[in-house]
Amino acid sequence: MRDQQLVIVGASSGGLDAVLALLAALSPDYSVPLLVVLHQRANRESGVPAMLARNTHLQVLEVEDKLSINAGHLYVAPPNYHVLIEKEKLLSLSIEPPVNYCRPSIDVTLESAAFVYREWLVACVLSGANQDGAEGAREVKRRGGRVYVQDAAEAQVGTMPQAVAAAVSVDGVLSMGGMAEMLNRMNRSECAT
Amino acid sequence: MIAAVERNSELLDDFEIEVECLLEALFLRWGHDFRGYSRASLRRRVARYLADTGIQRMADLQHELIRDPQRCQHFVRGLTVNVTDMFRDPAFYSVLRTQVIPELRSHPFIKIWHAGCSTGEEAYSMSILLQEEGLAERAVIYATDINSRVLEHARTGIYHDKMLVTARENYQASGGKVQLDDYISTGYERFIMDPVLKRNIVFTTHDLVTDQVFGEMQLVICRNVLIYFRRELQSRVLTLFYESLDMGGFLGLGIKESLSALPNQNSFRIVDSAVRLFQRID
Repeated sequence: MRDQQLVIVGASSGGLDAVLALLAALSPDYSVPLLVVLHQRANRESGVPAMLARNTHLQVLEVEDKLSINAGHLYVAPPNYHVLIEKEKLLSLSIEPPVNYCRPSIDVTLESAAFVYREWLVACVLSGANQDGAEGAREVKRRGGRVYVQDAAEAQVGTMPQAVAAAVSVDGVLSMGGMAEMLNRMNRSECAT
Repeated sequence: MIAAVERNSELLDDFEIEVECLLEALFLRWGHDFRGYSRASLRRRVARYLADTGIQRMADLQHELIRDPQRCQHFVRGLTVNVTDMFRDPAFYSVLRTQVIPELRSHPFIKIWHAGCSTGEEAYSMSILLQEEGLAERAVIYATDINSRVLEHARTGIYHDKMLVTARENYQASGGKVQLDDYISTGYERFIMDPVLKRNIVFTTHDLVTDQVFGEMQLVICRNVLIYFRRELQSRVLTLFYESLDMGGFLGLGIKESLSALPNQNSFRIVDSAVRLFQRID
């Protein structure tokens, strides 16, 4: 039943290193689906999926129109598109205007994911220099999901995780090692059920 | 019966039920059919519409939509996403230059359908490309959209100059032969497309959901429209494109879209997988 849960990792400036550190600390049997929303420059082919693929056992896919969400996979939001989640647990894309000057916007993804995954959603907001993710985190909490942020002291840029922690009562302020541990635990308890 | 009701109330929350009712009402009253649209983005835009207009309840919106054609028009315009750029995804245009243009040269008359052209930036981009390749004299671009308001904008060929930096970059990256500025005039924080570019563009409304085939095209372009459709509707629209294309004609989709919903995918070959360009071969 690992398909029942979804982990969304939102990251911006300084966030790629944090994502890599998180992946490095995931246990080899970790398989709850991960969706990474990383702010990237538009109109460039992204090197991020290939870079992540070299650093994880999970199968890495850049999000395409109506891709289904499956265990053992890591999905990456493509530059210049918002990623939304359909009720059928499909990923869908939109080129609606940028939100918080961002496309993909973490807020957009979190809001739509909270609607579908409710208490089965875990949102992790890492290093970044803006406020994207704070609105989305409110929606995640409202629907019963959990929100974790990177420890601002550890983050290269602490603004984004701090904005989230100011917006909602977060479930944890963690180092990347601590966040991986939390995800590993969640993965194990999923196994048991 | 009761069991079914309980099950449904578990699957759909109140707002979702109201959205479904609204879509049904729009179709029954005005024939606007959004029932095949992907719901995540649609829900977002309905919520945004409520916030923007200050209408408090979905029931009130539905009441107005059924009775007031102006409200309906305003709402439908709000539902469609109208975002585009000059030479959006420049690699797509450079592949058009290298793979498609050489084949189009053999045609005495070239018909191109740009479906979902929004405010027209990409139609003008195509017109520039045809100029530079010496095909403008015998080509026509049918640029269509469901939204008549954005087509009015498209016909003016006037855009805000905050778009200009990206437009120039994209033009160069697409393999443009001169400067984008050779095709525009600027002033008053706007830029306007050279009227020559309009000569071979026909802007007209067309609804991919309810309207029919556009016949015998050599090239159909429909980018970042299918992402808003569910698979059943994608399948219908891709079939519409197939039927609108000449044998050997080309189909260009958005770079994250695919033919996977098409019943007979073997009727196309992949010309370039990265930019999602296909050719009808059957």
